[in-house]
Amino acid sequence: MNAEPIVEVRGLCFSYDAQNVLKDVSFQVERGEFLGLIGPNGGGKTTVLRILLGLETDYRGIVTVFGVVPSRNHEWRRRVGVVPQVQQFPPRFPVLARDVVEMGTRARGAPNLTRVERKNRVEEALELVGATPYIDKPIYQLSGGQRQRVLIARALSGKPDLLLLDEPTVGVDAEGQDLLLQWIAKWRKQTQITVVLVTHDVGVIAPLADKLACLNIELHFHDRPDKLTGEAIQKAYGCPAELIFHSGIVPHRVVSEHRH
Amino acid sequence: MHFIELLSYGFVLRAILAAALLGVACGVLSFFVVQRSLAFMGHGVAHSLVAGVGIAVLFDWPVFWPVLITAILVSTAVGWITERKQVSEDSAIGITLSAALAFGIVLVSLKKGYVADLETYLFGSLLAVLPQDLVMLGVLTLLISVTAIWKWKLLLMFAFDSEGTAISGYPVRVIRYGLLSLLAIMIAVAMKIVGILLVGAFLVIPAAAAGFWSARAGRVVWLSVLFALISAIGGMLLSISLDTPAGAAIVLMLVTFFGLSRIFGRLN
Repeated sequence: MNAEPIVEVRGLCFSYDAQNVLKDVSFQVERGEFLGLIGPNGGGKTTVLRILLGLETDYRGIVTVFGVVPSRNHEWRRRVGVVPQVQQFPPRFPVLARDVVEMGTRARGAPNLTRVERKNRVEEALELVGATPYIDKPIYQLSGGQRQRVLIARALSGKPDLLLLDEPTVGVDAEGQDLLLQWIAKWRKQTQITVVLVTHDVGVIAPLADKLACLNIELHFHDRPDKLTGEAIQKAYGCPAELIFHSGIVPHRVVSEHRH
Repeated sequence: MHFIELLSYGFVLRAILAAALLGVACGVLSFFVVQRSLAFMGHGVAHSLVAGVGIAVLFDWPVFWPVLITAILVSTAVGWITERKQVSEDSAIGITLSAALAFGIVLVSLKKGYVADLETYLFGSLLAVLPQDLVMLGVLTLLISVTAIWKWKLLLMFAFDSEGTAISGYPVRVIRYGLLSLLAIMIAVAMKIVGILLVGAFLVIPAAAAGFWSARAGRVVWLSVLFALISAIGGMLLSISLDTPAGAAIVLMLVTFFGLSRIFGRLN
C-alpha cells in the first residue's frame, strides 16, 4: 500500500459556544485505506468530516486533504465523494434516482462530460451499489436503504479518489443495513478508493475497515480493528462494554447499568 | 363598457401583457419557492412592502424604488438572521414583516387621505401598470428565464441539497442571496398588479399544482409556467369582464388549477 496520506489531521481542536467539541485530535488516512471513525453521538465525528470538507473553518491545528487546506482550495473537491448523514430533502422533490446520481458528476472543476458519458457514469454508479432497479423512481418513493444506496451512487458517480460517509446506516432498517454493508464491502474491493466512514455503531464498521479511530472529543484509539479493546471502547463511549468477536465483526455490548 | 371595447384600450392590453410576463417569471420562481420552503418568506416580504409604500406616500416619491429597496432589505435581513441560527427562519420572517408592516402603517397614517391609495397596493390594480413597469417586468422575466435555463442543473442541485452543492465547491451563499434578491424584486414589481396581499400566492401555487403532475423537475417548472401564464391572462380577462380586482381573479384561477391538479394529477 502506498503510504501517501490523503487526509492528514494534526492537533485538531474545535469548540462551539466555549465547549470543547474536538481536543488535540490527530490521525491520517493513507491512499487506499478504509478508516472507520467511530464514537458515541456528540463525540465530534461529524464535526471532523465537516472540517475535512471545508464547511467548518474556525478550528486550530493542521488539516489537509490531498495536501491542501480544505477551505482554501476547491481543486480537491472533484476528487471527493460525500454521503451525508440522514438527509432531509424537500418533501416530494421532483427528481428521479438518475437525476440525483447525475448531480455527483457536476462538482466544480469536474471534467466536462458529454450527455452519453454522463448517462454511462450514472448507470455504472447505480449498478455498483445494486440500485439499477430504482433508476427511474422518484427519490421520495424510495425506502431509507434504497435512498442511501442512491446517495452512495451519487458520491461514486464523480469517480472520487476519497469517499466520506457519515452514518450511512442511520434510518435504514436491519435488512437494508446488511445489504448496504455488503455493497460497501463489494464496491470497496472493486474500486480500491480511500474511504472514511463515520458511525456510532462499532459492529457496522469493524468487518470492513482497515483501521478504526475511536473518537469522543479526544481520540482514544487509532489502529487495526483486531487491536480494539474493551477498555478503548469504554473510554470512548463512557460506559462499561465487552467486545464480541464473531466473523470478524466487533459489536460492543453494554454489560452493566450506566448513564451516558 | 363592453368587454371587447375594453380590450382595445392601451392600458388594458398593457395590463394583460404584464400579467403574462408575471406568469412566466412567477412560474419559474415558484418552483424554487416551493422546494426551498420560501412560501412564508414570499408572504413576509410582500407584507413588509407596506413600509416602502409608507415611505413613498409620506415623502411624495414614486412608489417603485422605496418598495424595491424595502423588499431587498427585508429578504436579505431574513436570510442573514437565519444564517446565524439564533432565530428560526419563520420567527425571523414573522418579526421582520410585523416591524415593516407596523412602520408602514404609521407612515401612511401620518399622511392623511391616502387610504384609497394603500388599498390599490394591497389588492393590485389594472390601471396602475405603466409602460415603464412593463419594461421592468420584461427585463426581469428575461433575466429569470435565461438564468433558469442557463444554470438549471446548478439551481436544481442547490434546491435539492444546498449543503451538498456547497461541498461540490459552488458558492451557495451567492446562489441563496441571488435567489432571495430575485424573489424580492419580483414581489416588488408584481405588487402593483396582484397586490401585496396576494402576490405570495402567485409564488407558491403554480409549482405546488404542477408538482401533482410530474416527478421531473424540468417538467414541473414548464407546467408551473403554463399554469401561472393561463391564470394570469385568464384572471386578468375575468377581472376586466366582472370589474373585480385583478389579483383576486388571478389567485382564484390559480387555486382552481391547484384543486384540479390535486384531484386529477398523475402523482396523487
